Amino acid sequence: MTEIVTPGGAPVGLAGDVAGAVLPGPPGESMLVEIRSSDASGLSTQDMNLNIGPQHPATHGVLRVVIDLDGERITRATPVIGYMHRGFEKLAEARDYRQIIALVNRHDWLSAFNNELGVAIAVERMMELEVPARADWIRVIMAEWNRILNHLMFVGSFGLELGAITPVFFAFREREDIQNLMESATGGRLHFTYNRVGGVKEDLPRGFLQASRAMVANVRVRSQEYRDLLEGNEIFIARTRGVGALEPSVALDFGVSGPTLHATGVAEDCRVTEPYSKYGEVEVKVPVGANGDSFDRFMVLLDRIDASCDIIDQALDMIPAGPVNVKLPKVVKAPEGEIYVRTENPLGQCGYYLVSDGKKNPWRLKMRTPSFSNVQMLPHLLQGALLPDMIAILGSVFFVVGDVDR
Amino acid sequence: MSPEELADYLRERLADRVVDTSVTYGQLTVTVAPESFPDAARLCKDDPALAFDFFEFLSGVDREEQGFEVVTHLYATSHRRHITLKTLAPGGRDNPKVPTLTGVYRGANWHERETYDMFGVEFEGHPQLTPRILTTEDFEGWPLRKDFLLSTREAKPWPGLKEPGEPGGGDSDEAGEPVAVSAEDAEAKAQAARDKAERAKAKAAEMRAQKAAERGAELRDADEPARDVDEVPAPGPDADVPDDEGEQQ
Repeated sequence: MTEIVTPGGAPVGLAGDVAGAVLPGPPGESMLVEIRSSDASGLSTQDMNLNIGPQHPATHGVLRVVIDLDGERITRATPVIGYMHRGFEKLAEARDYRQIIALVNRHDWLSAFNNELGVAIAVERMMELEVPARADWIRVIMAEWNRILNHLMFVGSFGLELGAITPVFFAFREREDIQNLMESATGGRLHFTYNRVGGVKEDLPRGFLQASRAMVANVRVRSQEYRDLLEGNEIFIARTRGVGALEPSVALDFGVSGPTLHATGVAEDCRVTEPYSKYGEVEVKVPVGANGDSFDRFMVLLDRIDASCDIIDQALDMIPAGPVNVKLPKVVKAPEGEIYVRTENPLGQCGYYLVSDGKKNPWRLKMRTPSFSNVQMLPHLLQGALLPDMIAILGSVFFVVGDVDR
Repeated sequence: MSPEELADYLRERLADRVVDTSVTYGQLTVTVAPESFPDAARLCKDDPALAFDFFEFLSGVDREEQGFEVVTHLYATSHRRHITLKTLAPGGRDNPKVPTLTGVYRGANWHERETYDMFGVEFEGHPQLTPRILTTEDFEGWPLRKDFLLSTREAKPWPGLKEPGEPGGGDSDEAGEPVAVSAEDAEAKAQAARDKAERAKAKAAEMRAQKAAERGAELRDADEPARDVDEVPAPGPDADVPDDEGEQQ
């Protein structure tokens, strides 16, 4: 009879224990490997209960996944979330709308500008504010720059997780340039807080538009480099193609969105279906995949970088001169009522359900974040997959843990 | 189908199970009876004329004495339409219970767990509401209920003279207008201000005395070896500034 003993001396699991559902206990309890036999004969394989995370390089933060293994095959995966819960929704109820803009750009720290945009639009629609055209175009440009910034991060990190070290260095080279560009306008490198209710903080600095145009050309060239590095790479293809294939109907049922949904072939993108800001006046290409596997998810991500470049180019042609914000009352108050506004964030659909009682802080602000719904779907993808494929799956269902836990 | 037509269509199908419909900012909200919440969702999903296939979110809203509202938002990718389904959980504030939507949308699972965690609304028929999804195992209370105070507010009242939103408060819009204050209030406030000044004065004097004492001690102990730096308590006057971190519990 096998007995696994922890360093402390207490037996963790005994061979012959009944195999079955083991609920993930509180952190610290089931952190150890647990081996149980699936039947009494002793001839069958042993089930293993393995704990991935909360500190694990493949999870981009503190996501914990409890996995039941039969040999190398995953029989059950249970994500355990909440390690980064910061209570943004409660805090938002004690902050006014100006402060909330600074607050919400933090839950998904890789999509700060896009996060702000949703709240600003929600309050503007409730107050029936007309946003100046220049401000709207600036929002489009900035949102797309932020999208590229986010996608570069995941392009780099996904390669890294599969053993390719070069892409992440390349990605950070472009990220640095784009961050410098955004810093010149917003003053921030990560949390821009550039949106205001009724427009943006201030006008673009002189030379920003020319610099943007040069940068777009640069990113186009560089995105081809990532393709050359990974697209035809045999190891990369072997590890991603056919791995973690997701069906479109399941994706919709779970509320999965963004590149993960587009890879299944569903081109649902609210920049196209219900354009906000000036997205209605530009041509937005939505790259889609065919198989919904890890390879497609990654390719959709790369294609989205090019699509964003196209949008920025169009916006640079169309941006007019004029004011960038409107005069607001001293205290911004959304009228009584409720509204749901969603924006296409880099990782998927981000929605804000804002319930106002007419005061200066919201009665309730529900954040519908893309990563929460995407991570919820993970057990479905992981069940039946091989353990080494887990990294390729976790890395390609692009999520940020701060966006899951809020 | 416009939102209004959609509302009529649903009224036709669900008859008296629809409690209320409203269209605000072009968005349709349908309130249904709690026991038919899953039926309404099922109809929204399966009826080909509706085909709400995309599950956006499910959450709750604290309606104070009425109890808790459970809200879910659905989207139809083919028709590009939205709907918000709502129901008021029976059981008031003590025992709110709503049937689960997990049988209709698989995505409802975690959203319901989160709603349970934040509001304490129980979803009947949910496969696994516990362990609590976002807070810790041993967490007590329901954080998003209005009667649950932010931890800093519990430990220490609002540092300003007035609560935010209170008339005459530092950053409220009524700041410029004269605020009617009764004589007693004014007297009480003046007294409070005097007390505060008094306390500050006493504290400053105490600090001075302490510093002087330390200096005196140092002079006396000049022959002895220098004191270990760690032992110096030196509580600066800003030692009791509230740290903002506590708020993000």
